[in-house]
Amino acid sequence: MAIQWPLVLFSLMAGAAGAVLAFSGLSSLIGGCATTRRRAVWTALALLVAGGLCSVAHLASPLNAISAVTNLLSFSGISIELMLLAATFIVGVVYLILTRERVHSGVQVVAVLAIVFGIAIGFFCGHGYVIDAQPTWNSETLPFAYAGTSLALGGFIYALIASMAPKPSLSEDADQTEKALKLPWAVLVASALGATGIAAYLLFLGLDAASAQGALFWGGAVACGIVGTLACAVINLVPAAAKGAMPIAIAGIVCAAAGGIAVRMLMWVCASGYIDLFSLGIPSVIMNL
Amino acid sequence: MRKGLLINLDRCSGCDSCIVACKLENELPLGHFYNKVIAVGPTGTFPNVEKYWLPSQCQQCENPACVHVCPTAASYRDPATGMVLINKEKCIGCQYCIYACPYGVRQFNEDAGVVQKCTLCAQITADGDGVPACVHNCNCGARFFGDYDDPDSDVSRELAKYPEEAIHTLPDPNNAKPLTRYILSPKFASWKELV
Repeated sequence: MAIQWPLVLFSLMAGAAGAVLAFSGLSSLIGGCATTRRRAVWTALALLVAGGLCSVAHLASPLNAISAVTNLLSFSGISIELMLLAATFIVGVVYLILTRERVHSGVQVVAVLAIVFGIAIGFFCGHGYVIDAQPTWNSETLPFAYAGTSLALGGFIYALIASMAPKPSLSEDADQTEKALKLPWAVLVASALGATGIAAYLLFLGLDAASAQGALFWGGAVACGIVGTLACAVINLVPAAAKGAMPIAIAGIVCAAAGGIAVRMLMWVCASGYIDLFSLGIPSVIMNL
Repeated sequence: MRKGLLINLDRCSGCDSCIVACKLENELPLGHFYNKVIAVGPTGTFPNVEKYWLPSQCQQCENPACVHVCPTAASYRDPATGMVLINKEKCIGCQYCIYACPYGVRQFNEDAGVVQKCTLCAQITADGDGVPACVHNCNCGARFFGDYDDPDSDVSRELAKYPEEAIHTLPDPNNAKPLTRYILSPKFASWKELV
């Protein structure tokens, strides 16, 4: 089946936006840098908008998005994605408003919602494809791979933002620095989930079918998505790597994005259909087939 | 009411007249189809070989997956006739129905920005009279149209002529309940499941 690039980019951008928001929520709960969180939430909102625009590009006309919005209660795969997109965006905006106004009550609740919606949007962007008519999609390993690769990419984006944040003054709090040390571990967990998701879906596809795609499998999914992403996350744990946090985060973003795109491309190119009757037509001179 | 097609493969010669008639009636441009005829076989070893033709189009499922995934209810099953149709005014071109159709018989019309498929020539058959163009123009008299719930309909009367082992439906992945029936007598060829 032809690769639907708008959907590939939408699911990765929206999923990564959710993951960045989830990391912000986690940071809010365990007490990380507030400046990093606010910048991360802004980044997540920008990614949500960009992803939403990609999604609209998949439709026959951008105006058709209005029809999709007015039929939200159909609870189809698309309507669930739209609901989560809206919910995630609203949570991000509410967080920014609460922190700008320095309203402390409710921030913890918003942080928990950010984690829940942020992870859910990555998962449900893949779950809409779990349908009986497509045997190579019909597995929960697919949304798991979508969610995992989104988390890995979102984790490295958050790490990049954290690496650009101003260093806390000595008096500000050593405590904050200590808590910031937990970030690399969270990125490692996200990367491990991404690698596991990719591996699970590749095993479901079958290594013969997946490896037949050559560079997409070996280069995109295995080298970048699994090995490269995990390597960056592990290097990020080494205390000496703190000085090179930004290049490591950028390398992680590149690897995680390549892996996320590769697994989504594999989904499309390996799609075979249950019985694809129209593709079974024999060549016919009369019908110009 | 469950209106649909019955195709007698004992009679089908694979002449493609149904495809031509459909394209003319529905004004389908080059590369667009509502139906196709598939060659199944030849299978076996000479001299015991067999082959049959399988005209394929929307199977008019009673529990259609395309309807369930449609975000705007553009794909729907008409409760009055049982026909699965597309309201092109509502279709947003997301193509989820194409992915969800287990039989791969829907196409995306990029010019119109909508998904299209066999309508059982609703423009002809909606008033209860007439038959789809593919049925009317079938050279071999292999195609029948009518209400499966009406014992006097063309489809019911043709079905009644054959034993159960000669009546087939396409494989059903998850209770989609395809309505279209195919007749293929074992004396001509054995039915292949295609999956």
